[in-house]
Amino acid sequence: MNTYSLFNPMSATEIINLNDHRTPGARVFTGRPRGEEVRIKSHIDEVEARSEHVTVRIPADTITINPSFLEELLRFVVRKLGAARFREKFKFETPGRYDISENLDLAIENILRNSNALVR
Amino acid sequence: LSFVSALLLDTPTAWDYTRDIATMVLAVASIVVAVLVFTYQKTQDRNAASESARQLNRTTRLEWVRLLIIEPNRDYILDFFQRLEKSLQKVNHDHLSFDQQIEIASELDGLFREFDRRFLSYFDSISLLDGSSPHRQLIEALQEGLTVELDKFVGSDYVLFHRRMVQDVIKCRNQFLAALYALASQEQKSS
Repeated sequence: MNTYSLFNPMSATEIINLNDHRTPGARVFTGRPRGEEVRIKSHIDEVEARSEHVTVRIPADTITINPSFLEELLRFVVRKLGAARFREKFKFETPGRYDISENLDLAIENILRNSNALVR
Repeated sequence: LSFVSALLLDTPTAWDYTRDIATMVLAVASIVVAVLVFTYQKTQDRNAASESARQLNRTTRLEWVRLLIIEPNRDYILDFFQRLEKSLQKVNHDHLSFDQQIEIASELDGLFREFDRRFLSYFDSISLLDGSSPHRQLIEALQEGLTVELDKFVGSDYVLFHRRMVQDVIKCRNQFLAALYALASQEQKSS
């Protein structure tokens, strides 16, 4: 789905597949160190900068993704875009039963609160 | 030259002259020492005043945290750990389907989210302990541990899994309460 245009150097939509970044055999994404590792390996910050929309695909057999993992994964893109623009730009595809929305909400709240505390 | 000759001749005038110089040197040295002592004392006083103000500020903040955050939530903190243990009863079965694992994970996530919003977030907001919060680290480590255990759950070892998860909760509860107690003790020491 990586589409480029001569008139718009940004690609329309890029996909980050969490299946490519999970611990073999694991059905959970958890912990800050792991979140940071996936942020670096998935190049999510660069992907965000060069595309209009980003789709994050969650493996169908995922049981849960902890907020601490999401905080580290999304730290810079949420700070850069703010909550509203982040939600416009990032879509989370969950083909399985797992619903990421509430843990994602908390992660966004925590990132923005800590970011404000740093500014103070 | 006249001074040297006066010294060699050991005349009273020469001794007087020498004594006057020595007296002057001593006087100047006394003044230098007095200035040094005064400056040192002043610096010490300033440092002590600054330290005292810092202590007062810290004590005020700790008291504020105790009264507004810890005291009103004392029962809730204990209740949170009890609710975790209760939710883990669902792991105490020899078979868990994928859907059941998702339900348990979702229930645990809900409890952790509520605890985060209702209690932990206050510690972040005031960045109490120089920006680091051992309380949050403990809770996140517990959530991570329970999540990983749930993922690895094997029905044939359900007793072991359940016991390990409950022990994790109890251990975290004790460490968490100890950390809160340490915070209160810090307050007493500094006041």
